[in-house]
Amino acid sequence: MRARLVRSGPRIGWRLPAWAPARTLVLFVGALAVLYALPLVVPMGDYAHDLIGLTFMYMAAALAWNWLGGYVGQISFGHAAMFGVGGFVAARIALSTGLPFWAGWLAGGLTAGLYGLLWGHPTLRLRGPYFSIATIGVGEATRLVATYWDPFTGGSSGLSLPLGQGPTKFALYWYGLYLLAAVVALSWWLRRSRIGLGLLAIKEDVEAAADVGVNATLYQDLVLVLSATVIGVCGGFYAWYQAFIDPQDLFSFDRSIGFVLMGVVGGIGTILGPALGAIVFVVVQELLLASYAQFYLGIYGLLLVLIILFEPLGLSGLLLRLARRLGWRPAAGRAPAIAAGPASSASTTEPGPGGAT
Amino acid sequence: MTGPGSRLLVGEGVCRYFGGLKAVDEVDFHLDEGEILGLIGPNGAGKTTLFAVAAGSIPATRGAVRLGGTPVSGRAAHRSVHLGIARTHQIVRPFAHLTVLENVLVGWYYGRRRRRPPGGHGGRAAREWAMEILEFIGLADRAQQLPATLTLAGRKRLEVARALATGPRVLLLDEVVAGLNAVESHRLVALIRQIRAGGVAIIMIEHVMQAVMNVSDRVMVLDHGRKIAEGKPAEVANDPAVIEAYLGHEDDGPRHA
Repeated sequence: MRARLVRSGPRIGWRLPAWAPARTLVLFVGALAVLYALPLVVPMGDYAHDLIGLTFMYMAAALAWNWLGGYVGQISFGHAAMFGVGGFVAARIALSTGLPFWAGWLAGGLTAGLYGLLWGHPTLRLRGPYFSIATIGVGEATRLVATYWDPFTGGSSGLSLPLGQGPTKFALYWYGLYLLAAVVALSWWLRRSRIGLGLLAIKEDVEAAADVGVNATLYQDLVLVLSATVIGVCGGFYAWYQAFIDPQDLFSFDRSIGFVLMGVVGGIGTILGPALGAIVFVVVQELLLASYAQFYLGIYGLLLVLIILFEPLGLSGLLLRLARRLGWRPAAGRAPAIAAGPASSASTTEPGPGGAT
Repeated sequence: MTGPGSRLLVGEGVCRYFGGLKAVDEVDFHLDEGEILGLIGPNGAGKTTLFAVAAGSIPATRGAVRLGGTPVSGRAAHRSVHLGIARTHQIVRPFAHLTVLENVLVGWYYGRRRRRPPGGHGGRAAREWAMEILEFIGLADRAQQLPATLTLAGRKRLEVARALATGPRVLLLDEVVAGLNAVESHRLVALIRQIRAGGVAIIMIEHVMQAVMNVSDRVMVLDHGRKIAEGKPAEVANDPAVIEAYLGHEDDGPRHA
């Protein structure tokens, strides 16, 4: 076995996990450093600075939505429920306790994750449109409860956050960046590790996956909890960003649709796609919402129709086509990256399956 | 661990009803270590349903299936895989957007509960193992292709490879030979023998009589959910009850229950 490993490449003293090749890691750290330093080096107005910070959060949210929608193929139209839960828990903690703001984010994220598990465990056995319809119900029910639960959410008058206790909008740029970085790393891991392979199998055919030993219930629950937790943290971020939150905004159906749109516009199931989708979403919203409030959902609708008709992989599909036209060839099969498992310590050597040895 | 010849998989009074339909009715069966059991019967006899119960995909209405004493029926399908029962599907169900190699890797990674890939470390060892299985099954040169590019025979082989990758003790093959031409089916039968030689006990459902009679140590016949015959292939082939089930009654009169 050792001889084989040596043949397939130079060995170094410490190993990177197989799902994170060195080149990707360098690219990741490089991008992080550039974005970290950007506002310090390039002078930009407050408006642009804040907007980029908000975009980071939306990118993280879109990627987290995509774990469920893209990796396991369960399209959720109810993610605003967790966004709102995270936001209001964070706000409540800031208002009623002296805990630092990040503790509120954490608590909001965990509460949202648990809430996701609560409704997700029974509904995730539905698939396709049936699951999506169930999530619409969850989203709307949560919105109604939140709207009428005055003591907690402030009802229709909402909550104002205690400014001065939390991060300024200016500082949120970097918190957004950290959040995005963590979510990108998680996306990469979920996609490229052996877990990603199991998730793809579930997406393809739940029953066939179960017949080769994939515990579909466990993995779907796990992905939903992760996704819901991140969305909850995003809600907490948003609460501090806006400094005022009300249930009609945080829990709105538009917001749930927004997450779906980011995923679909960018390209479902990819890592780059939803991040691009989030950028487009924010830009379109900023450009159109102010002047044509009625118009912007129509634009999204049109975009959606065009994408589904012509490029199901969205923007990332377009980029891929462009890259191919420019002469880029993907490596023979995605197998090496996807198939590679996470680092695990060497242990017992077991005989393999029947005649295969 | 039990030796050759001892009972590995045992079904006792297995019943599976769909409403008023008795798809499987009071079937007792057993499979010994290192044995190939042929399961035959007319269409609708309940063969696939019996498989689904044995594989844990659907619970038994009554009765139990045990693997080495551990009950397997009525658990989630992935748990019986972990216990060591793998099945293939009559209509092949490859993961269409995964390569042939990845299809096998899913079985490799998820089919074993506690075992780690030999050599221990992550992706590469697992890939080499999956490649070995593909070489054994005869699909190594197709490893990086999508299942859709394979012929039917190829996809059936892939189905078997994926099940084998889970490291089963019992392999349930649902019509793997059906639909193949003479050469292909001959090769697949040879492969089944090799799998058995590797220490995996096999139950195979098959309509291709030549294949099943050739390769089976023992044959069990189902008709209308009930077991009507069991024994050596030659005995079963001459059993009047079996001939009647397949060809109908001599008088062409109403069938006796």
